[in-house]
Amino acid sequence: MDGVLARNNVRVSGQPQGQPIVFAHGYGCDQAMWRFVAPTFEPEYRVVVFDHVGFGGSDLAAWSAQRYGTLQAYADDLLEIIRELDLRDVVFVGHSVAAMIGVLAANAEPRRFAHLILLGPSPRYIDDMEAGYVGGFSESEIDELLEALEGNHLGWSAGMAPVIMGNPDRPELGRELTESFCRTDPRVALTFARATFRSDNRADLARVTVPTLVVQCAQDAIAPEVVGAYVHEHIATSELVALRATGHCPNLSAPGETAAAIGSYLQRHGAPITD
Amino acid sequence: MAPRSPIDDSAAFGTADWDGAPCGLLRLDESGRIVAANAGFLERSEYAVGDVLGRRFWDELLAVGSRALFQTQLAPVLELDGRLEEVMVDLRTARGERVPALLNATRLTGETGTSIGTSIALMSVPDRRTYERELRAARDTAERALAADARARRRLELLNQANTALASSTDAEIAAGSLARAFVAQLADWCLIYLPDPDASELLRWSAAHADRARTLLVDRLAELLPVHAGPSSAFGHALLRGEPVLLTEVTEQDQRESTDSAEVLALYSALRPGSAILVPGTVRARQLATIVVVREHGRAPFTDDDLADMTDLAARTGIVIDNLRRQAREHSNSVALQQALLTTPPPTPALQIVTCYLPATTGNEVGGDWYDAFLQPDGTPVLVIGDVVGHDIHAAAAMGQLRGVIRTVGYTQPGPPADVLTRADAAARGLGVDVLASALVAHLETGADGSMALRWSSAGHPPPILCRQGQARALDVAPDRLLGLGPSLQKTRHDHQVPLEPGDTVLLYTDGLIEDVAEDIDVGIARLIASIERAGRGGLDELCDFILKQRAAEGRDDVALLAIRLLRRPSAPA
Repeated sequence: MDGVLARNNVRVSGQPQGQPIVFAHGYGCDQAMWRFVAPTFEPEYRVVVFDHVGFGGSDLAAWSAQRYGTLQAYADDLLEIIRELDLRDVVFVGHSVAAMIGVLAANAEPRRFAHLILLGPSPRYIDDMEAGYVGGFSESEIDELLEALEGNHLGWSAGMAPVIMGNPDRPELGRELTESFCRTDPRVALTFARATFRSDNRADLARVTVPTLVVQCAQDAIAPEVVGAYVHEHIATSELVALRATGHCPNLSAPGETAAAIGSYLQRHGAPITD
Repeated sequence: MAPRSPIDDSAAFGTADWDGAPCGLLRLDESGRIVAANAGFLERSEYAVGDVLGRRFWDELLAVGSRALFQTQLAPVLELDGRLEEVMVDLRTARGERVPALLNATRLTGETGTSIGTSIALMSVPDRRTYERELRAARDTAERALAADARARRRLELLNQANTALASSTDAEIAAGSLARAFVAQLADWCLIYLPDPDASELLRWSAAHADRARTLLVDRLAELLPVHAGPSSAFGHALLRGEPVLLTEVTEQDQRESTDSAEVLALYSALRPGSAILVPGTVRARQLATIVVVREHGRAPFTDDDLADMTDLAARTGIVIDNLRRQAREHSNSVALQQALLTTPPPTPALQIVTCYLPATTGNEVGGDWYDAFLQPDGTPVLVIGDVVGHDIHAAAAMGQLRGVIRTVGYTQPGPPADVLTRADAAARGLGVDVLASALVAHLETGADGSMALRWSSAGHPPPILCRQGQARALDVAPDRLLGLGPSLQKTRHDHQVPLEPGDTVLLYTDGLIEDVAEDIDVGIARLIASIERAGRGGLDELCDFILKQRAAEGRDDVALLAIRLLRRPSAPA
């Protein structure tokens, strides 16, 4: 079924016979988040990138508020992609909320996955005082975030997809970015934001059986270090690596360090299968 | 790297330009720390310069919502595109308050293309939030209006289809069938319409429809079972037995199980998958004449209160239409029964065969005032009468009965010729208050002293008799006298006409329903009748009448009375 690949704007590159490495973008943008990281793996791996439904170049007609109101729907989509490409031994790299999407998918079909790389994961963004859990946000702060999102509806097209200047020899680049990059229908963005920031996947961590790497940034306002430590602690098969990179998007701000962290982890856990 | 002071940066374009700019200006280093802030920024954020230098702008000086927005949405854009434009953020002031601001940012790159920091401009927009709230409210209002508009259009379309279905039917069951199909085309997956008739002891009738025509039979079977197997406390019981409208937004399997004692009904439910339903009675003058059940399948958007209101309205209209159709049908059958009762069998007459026939109109629900009559005077003279009262309703039929009685009485007692019979009958009807306008023809069959026979007749504006002799037919066309019932001011002498008859001759008396066509001249109709008689050949009189009537049956807008006589071969006369 060509439908799944078109629906999620799936792009495959690298070695056709290489071990598959699937990159999933997080909340707020699309597969462009991986443009500085994914190429590093092309010489050895079969590299798969895609857009979640509602984002980037995905089939917007496939989106509905009803279906995409929970993270499980995104996990189901991911599994469909993996099945469609018949990928096995998958190295899954999920950024931000996609880390939890990967956890849900791997718990559903663990035999497809070789490793989970969780970049800035958070199983729950809202503090849970009773359980002594620190997520980094209070309930009202999440409300404020959703409000901030709504407040930017007006500037969405103008602010989110500015025309790229200074690329006279590659006009298609500017056009491509203007048309798709980080430009999301406000309804889609808000629905995904609710699914993301109101999710609680703490219980899913304990069920993970796939070897996992937790990648933690410094000064990450979205997924602070205490949350990364929590994830590491609750996934028995996990390792934790701390980056020097700051912020929530090391795949953009420090792509080299990010790729190196992933690469060295994979090196330590056996060379990629290239049959 | 040590933070630079605002003064350091101002060297490039002058302190006045930097600090006097009518907006907040910031320089961040490549890690997002503030290295310069102008007076405009300090004023808006209420910080002292020493409090902001070295602070991480995105994490420490934005309110939490904007901070998360930056990390998830804005940072990637700034990183990849090098700039942000017109982004709405909330600054967090020194006092912890939120100040809405519009932010533009440009990533600064060094000679090698690497990021060396970010330049930021901030305009405070205190009214922006109100403005956005108003815009959102306006958008919501517009969306609501659009939804209401779409709903209104949908409703009009439904009403239009329902009205067409109801208006184009002359029969209650046909109307219900069209209506059911209109409902499944417009708003439901399947539909049942019951037509209880409180005035008749007949079995309960219904119409059923399914959007998937192949499944209409299932709905039809369910319709048959429900009145027997649905409990009085079920939704169906409420609607059909108690006449209460019901909206079911969610039909659960438990609801289904509790609503019936029939396994077959449950099996039909699981095949037809009712998800939500509306059941509404169509009640007219406290009599429930229709019950409409519309159902959407499980998984479809459920019916709403608005749908219930529409359906309640439509059911009431349906009840009124059904009531009218039923009353028309009842009146029509009453009129026909009355008329048939008034038309008596002709008496047995020697040497003469008489065949009579009455056909009600076949289309529409009109009934005519046409009649025929045949009787013998005391001396044995056969009297033939045919007539047509103006009007097509039960009053015309009743008036015909009276006029027929008057002519019969006068015709029996009055020994004079047919013109006298008509003159006296006209006067008697007027005197007795029989207020009616009619055409009529009275004929006597006279036998001469030598045994020869003749037809003597007088016509009050009636179509001419047809004489058929040896296969040749002709109209006995004479100038007709005036109609009956025109009143005394038009008193004029009526005339008699006579034609000798031979054994084997056939004479046809008829009403205009046999020859009239709205589009035709009456002479054309008569010519056609004559042709039809000649085509019939020389069979028996019954066969002739059947043949003629069949010719007309196809276009029978009006009723028809027909009286035909045939002179038999003289019974072996004494030699």
